Amino acid sequence: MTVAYKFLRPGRVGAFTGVQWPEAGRWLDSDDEPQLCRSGIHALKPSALPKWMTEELWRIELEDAHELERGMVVARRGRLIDRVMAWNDDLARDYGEACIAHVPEGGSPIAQQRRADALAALAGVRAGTPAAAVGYIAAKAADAYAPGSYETERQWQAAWLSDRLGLSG
Amino acid sequence: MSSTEITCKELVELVTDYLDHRMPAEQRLRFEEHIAFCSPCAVYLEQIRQTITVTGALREDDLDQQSRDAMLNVFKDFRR
Amino acid sequence: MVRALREGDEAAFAHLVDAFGGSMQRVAALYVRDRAVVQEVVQDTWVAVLRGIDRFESRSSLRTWLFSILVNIAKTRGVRESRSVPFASIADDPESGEESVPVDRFLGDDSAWPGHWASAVPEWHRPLERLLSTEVRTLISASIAQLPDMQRKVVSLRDVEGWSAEEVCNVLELSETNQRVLLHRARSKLREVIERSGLQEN
Repeated sequence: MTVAYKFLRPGRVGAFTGVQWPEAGRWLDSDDEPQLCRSGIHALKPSALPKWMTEELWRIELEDAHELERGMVVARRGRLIDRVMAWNDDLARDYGEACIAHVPEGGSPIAQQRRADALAALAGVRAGTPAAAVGYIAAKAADAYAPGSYETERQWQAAWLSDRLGLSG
Repeated sequence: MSSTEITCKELVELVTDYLDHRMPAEQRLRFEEHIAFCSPCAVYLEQIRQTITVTGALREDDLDQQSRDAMLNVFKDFRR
Repeated sequence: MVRALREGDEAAFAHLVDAFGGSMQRVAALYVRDRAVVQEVVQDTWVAVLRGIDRFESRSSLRTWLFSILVNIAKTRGVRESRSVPFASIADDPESGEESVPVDRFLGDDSAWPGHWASAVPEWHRPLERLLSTEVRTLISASIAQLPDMQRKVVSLRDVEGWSAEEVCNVLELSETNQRVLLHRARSKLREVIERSGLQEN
């Protein structure tokens, strides 16, 4: 058994499959769900969280899981354990602010432009795509400041999040 | 990662491949990764989906009575 | 169903008419302009189906068989045959690269975000159920009629009639890739039509 994390849309709905997950504790088998059997059940290690944010973050237990690259896990069967309630709009805002603060000011015109864009994106940020956008823009700003640092910046963002949410793995 | 990143301009050309499930796994991952942070692209994809739904609704137009009768007459004539 | 038809069951035939009649008219109209000729093509198809039902082997579905008859008749009667006429416009040639969204809607290479949207894509505020109004459907129907020939055929068969990619490729004699390129252009165009119509607003 593997424990991992999963972002879902409100009401436990898969962001790309549109599949609604059963309530916590009930297994979902990818063989039973046409939308999933193409690719199985996907989940995330904490290192991948910044790239997939939606409104709800859940802990998930997986059976027959194997790790893919870039912090992704795929499994035949999974069940939601509980929701990580600490992931909410307030934390999303803190996250956005932290991402921006971590990018040095100054640098090339593009770095400065991107950093400014990240700040603009912070307005009205909430848990979900808006927070993912701030993280992305900030990482691209960091990459313009120090070329090649995009992934490292993403790792930093993931570590921040993992720490604040108290995640394991 | 940045060098293999999909841009919005590239993504809009890939939506049909995506909806037809005709994308290599790696490309599909990049596609979804982009949608996850890019609200305009998510909106665009949804609009394509809605366009398809509206187009499909044209199928629901009923066969008019006159045409229907003419078709049924083929059978009646044939059976004679 | 096949057996019922062979036995002369009128109710079975009526069921078939209700199931396929509307679609047959639309598909015939992809090849033939004149409404009267469309009706003739459909009638001739029904006759051919009834004549051939005894020989029909259930290897393919009844629907596939029926529509292959229809398309053959329609092609013969059609003013333009898709096989013999080269792609009539560059927009219809899958080989020609063409952007489905105007290039100026994206930022250039000199910007901080090359290839990203220059501005937000205007959201559609009308909920989907109300997008399915007669008004919008009429607009889409008219827009499909104005598409380049092969785009019109592909989007009609795929998205209006709901045929699979494989069926469409067989009937239109297209590779899967080319079929998808044509479908892509048609859908992009139709999305744009809705966007520009204002009907997606409340």
